[in-house]
Amino acid sequence: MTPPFKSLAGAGLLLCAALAAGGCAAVGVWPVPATHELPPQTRVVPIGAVKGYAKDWFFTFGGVPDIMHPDIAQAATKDALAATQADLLTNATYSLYVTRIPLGLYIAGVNAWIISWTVEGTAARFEPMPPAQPSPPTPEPPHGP
Amino acid sequence: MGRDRTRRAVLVSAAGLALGLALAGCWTRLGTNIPTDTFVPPGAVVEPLGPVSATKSVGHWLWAVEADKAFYDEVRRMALKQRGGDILINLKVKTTLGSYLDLYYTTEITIEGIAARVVMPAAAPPGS
Repeated sequence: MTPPFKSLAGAGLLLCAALAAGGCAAVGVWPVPATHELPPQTRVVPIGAVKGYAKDWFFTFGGVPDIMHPDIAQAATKDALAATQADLLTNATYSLYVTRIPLGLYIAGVNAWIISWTVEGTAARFEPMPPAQPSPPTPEPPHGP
Repeated sequence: MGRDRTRRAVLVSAAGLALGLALAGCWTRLGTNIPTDTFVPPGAVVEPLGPVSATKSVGHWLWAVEADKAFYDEVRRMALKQRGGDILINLKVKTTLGSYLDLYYTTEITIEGIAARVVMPAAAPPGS
């Protein structure tokens, strides 16, 4: 009679361990054409591919934290820009990864959350538009007799 | 004997509940609407080609695959292939995370939008 109990108990322990360890709670992806507004009369000069990352911890007692936390996404952008001293990112892709650790084992609503943002894109610089070339003077039409 | 039977009933019920939860899974969906996913230089003309959509799902044990740029670009390529455009405009991007008892995860990206072609203005000939 005991062997099935042992295997079931083992399966239960494995399940409890997996639940206690927690896991991924949300993922997301957001493509962004340009991270900053173009000033007038400027052009965008690409520098190269870059990647930035930022994360933060939160603790909650019931409910969920602000998983789309804009400060963390902004920190990831600054991290990407810092390496190249660029002004903006073009064709950027923001990725969100949220991990929940159930400190209350899903019985009490005490959770730790790790919210991480990764951004990958092309670092670029603003440059003033080159001045328009003055067009050469048009020759005078020949006067008739 | 009676105690054993009760114990077995409790364990079988717990296993049944766990199996039910595992099969049902838990889903988290995040989505957004964006006008375009690609930087269009000022002065360029965007020519719409038609609606496109693509979905891809990846599963992994113990942790979820990140919905990163490589994953997004793959789904984007699948969508653009349908019409042969350069960029997507007026698009919806949806991400779905499926979790089965924190043991198995699925990450899915869905893109729906309009494929478009970017036409750069021809450089004016010198002296014109």
